[in-house]
Amino acid sequence: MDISFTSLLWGFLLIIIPTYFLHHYRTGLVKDTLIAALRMTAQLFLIGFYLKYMFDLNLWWLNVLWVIIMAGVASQTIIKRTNLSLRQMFVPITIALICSVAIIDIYFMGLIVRQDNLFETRYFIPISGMILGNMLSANVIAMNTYYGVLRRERTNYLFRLANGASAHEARSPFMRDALIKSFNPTIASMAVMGLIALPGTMTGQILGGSDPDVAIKYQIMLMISIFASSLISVLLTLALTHHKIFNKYEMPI
Amino acid sequence: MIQFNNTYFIYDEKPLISGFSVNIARGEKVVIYGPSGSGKSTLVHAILGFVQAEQGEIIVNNLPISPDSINEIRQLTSWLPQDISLPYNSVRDMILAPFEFKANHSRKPSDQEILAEFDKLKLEHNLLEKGITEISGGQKQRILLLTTVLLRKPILLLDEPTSALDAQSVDLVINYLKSLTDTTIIAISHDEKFINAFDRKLLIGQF
Repeated sequence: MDISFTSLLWGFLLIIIPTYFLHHYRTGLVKDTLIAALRMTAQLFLIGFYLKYMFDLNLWWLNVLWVIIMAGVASQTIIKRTNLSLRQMFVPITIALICSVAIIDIYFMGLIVRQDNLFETRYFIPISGMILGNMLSANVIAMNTYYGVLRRERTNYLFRLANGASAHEARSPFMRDALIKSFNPTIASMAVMGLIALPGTMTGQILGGSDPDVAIKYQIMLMISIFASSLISVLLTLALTHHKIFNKYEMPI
Repeated sequence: MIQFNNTYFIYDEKPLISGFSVNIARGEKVVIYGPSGSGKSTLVHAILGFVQAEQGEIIVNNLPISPDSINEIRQLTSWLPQDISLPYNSVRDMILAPFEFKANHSRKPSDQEILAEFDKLKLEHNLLEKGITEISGGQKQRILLLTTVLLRKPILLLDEPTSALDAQSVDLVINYLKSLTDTTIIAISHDEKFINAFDRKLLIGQF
């Protein structure tokens, strides 16, 4: 069943409650919340409008271009939220995201959905978008942890380096921390999925009229794909940004 | 073993050390002293490739320090920084951690070897089984010192190795380090007793 614009407006009123409390506790988040809600609405309508045309056109190069642009925007967001240099990091992070999406897209479209056309808009765009969105949060947490801990525990890193560790060995505890912090939430949400949480995609599909059996199968495959792609992207991002962060003597710049 | 040839170092865009040269032979014990901020740690860090000289050359074991040689040079060193908090729960884990590195696997000490070093520094054997939070600052400093010694590297670099020790323990550490006849030792210190115990003293900066 479609939602009318009037109902949508009623739905929007719900945001008054959290906004009131954010204002009451002087969190300074009211403006950000309202801007975020408005941005989300505008962006989604725009995407909806755009997707309709994309579905009709179903052009492989347009879809690929779309994913590249999404990866660029995601890369910019990751860099902004990790206080790294946009000029230095944009290219390696964007490449890492594009490669990770490509690997999982090919796997998902070719082996699971078994589409003849790997770039079929109806699958390629939403799946890539979903994967990229999750990569974004995994990368923000991983990069913040990795480079943050490395800054805070610089002496510990140097101690390892000076006492016989290879650069890889010296960095491995920071990598471990980054992976734990970054993937614990995904693992926790996978473990309780369906029990105490109904995932967005599945709920969306069911609300949109899909058979719950089909929705569940897609959800399982999506969760696995999200997990794999996020991990691949974190490893690739860290690998491709290393030479920008460490000098030739393996010292953090 | 270690040579600084007319080296210049910059810190915060200001000259820190100018025209510094020294030649340290194998097995020599050298203490570096001088006022805070004079660049003592910079010299030790330069041997490890943590900072680079603006001019001049540093040669370790006949290898000029460069990105290509630094890994080989770091295999010859062990280093005890002044202030370090390592993320280990037990004393045993802290001692054995550097032996997890591939290059140090073969040197992994047995309990007997560890306890022999404990004896030299008058540390009680039961400390080996304790948690990190159960030991004092002085005990931790001595344990970290013996860990770097157990790595059996030809070059031992120490930054204020007696800063948390009482006078009696300082004597122990001096004798302990002097007994390592084959090891080249460069130690930074503010401790008068420690400085005077070394044959070769390098004053960096002016008091």
